[in-house]
Amino acid sequence: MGINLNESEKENKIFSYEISNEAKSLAEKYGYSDYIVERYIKLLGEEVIDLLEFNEIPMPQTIRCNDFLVSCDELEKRLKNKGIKIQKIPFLPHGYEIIESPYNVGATHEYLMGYYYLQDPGSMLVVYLMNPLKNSFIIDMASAPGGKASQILQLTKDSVKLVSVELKKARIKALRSNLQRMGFSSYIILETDARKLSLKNSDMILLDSPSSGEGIIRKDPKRKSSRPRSDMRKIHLLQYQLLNKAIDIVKPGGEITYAACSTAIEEGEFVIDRVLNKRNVDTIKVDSPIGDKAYEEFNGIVFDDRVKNCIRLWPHKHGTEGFFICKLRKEEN
Amino acid sequence: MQAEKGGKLVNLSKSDLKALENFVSQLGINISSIATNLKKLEIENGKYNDIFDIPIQLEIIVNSLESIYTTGFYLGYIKNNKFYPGLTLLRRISRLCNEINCIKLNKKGEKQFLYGKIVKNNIISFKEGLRVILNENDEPIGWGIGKVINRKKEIKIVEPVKDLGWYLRRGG
Repeated sequence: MGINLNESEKENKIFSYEISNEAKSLAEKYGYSDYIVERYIKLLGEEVIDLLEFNEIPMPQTIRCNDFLVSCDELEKRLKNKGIKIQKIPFLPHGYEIIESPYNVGATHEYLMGYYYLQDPGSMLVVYLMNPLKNSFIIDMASAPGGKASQILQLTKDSVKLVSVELKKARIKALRSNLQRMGFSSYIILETDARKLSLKNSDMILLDSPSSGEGIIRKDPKRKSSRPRSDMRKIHLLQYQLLNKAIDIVKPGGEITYAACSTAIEEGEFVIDRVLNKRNVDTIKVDSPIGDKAYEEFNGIVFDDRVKNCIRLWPHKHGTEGFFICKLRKEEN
Repeated sequence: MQAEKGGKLVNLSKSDLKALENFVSQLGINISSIATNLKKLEIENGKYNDIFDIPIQLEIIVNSLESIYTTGFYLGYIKNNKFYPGLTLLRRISRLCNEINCIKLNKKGEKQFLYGKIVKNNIISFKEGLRVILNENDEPIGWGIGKVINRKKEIKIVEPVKDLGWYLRRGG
């Protein structure tokens, strides 16, 4: 059961939990930082082995058909004629898994024509759950390389007023190139730190937050150990600051979709818990075809019970990247 | 190439409009066939200006911003009073290929063209000058220049100017 702790005691239990011998031994065996494995044990119990084993299986490539430019039936036919074997992903309306391909799917003529985008399934799911509304004013606060931004434009048939924000110079070119390649025009790209945005009163915000990337270990095994434990506080702080900014600039009654490609509590439940305690926002129940309820408790810390409306995706359970997804509504004044 | 830094959207000058007119007249179309709300991105010390067609719904937000990286439908850029078309403009102009003359390539020609190579012999329909290049399915694959290199023997080639392979080579 949880106990009442002050902010700093709570932070210590979240960021500085002790590492068990079991975690140390598993971390050594699978090549992880031990704090990640200890967290897995605390969250998953005996299932930890299932996750560690599953993370050894490379992630298949998945694509999103861009039905703004081509019908998905036509794309299916064209890829089949090229000898590319694909399979529909049941919970993603435009998602396909590449089963077999004689070519690099990131370099086919259909790719160059903008008929599809290479995007992981969890990442696609975030935007379906966001459910962007046609003609609305939307801010995508960490936009590059443009997977979710192009999906927002696709689902709304290029009707929204989308402001795509990206700070990193090296990534912003890809964002521009992807949105242009896929045929969209109803967007503005800003090269800035989203925490400094001067815009106000957007109808919806997507914050796919910069993260530790622990959710994509299957794609990038270096993530098992590339981050020192001390980084988790910095990442959490950035996420918390960005989410606070999102709350500042969304209109009263407007929605924020917060996502982090990570299995870490520090980047999910704890970020939401903190804003629920301090800001005038509420969670909206995420109605997802896949996923587990977010955690209401970690290492003796009980989170605001509204966190249960958010969801978690686990690689070994859902076949996706690890993800935390939450929807918030800013209260009317 | 497009702008690398943020800037402010402004109206096109007379010389900008002239540059754009010179371009569209080569293709046998009017500016109104490709854009209705023309703006250029003005960047301090910029060597060229990106040209956009701005969707009307973006106007209020765009005008409220100090500096933008890019926005709207990218048409191309103007440098030294000459307009250079972008890849995105292909889609708009290719819809007019029934009325204007575009160049059409067969599958082999398409492959050569997308690798940035000069195309000979694999041309289905041809016209001299800067043209939209189509594949067999009438899909635009780039900008190229049709040239007759030997009028007696009627040897024609298509030189690539900018093709969709740019997205892999330079797109970022």
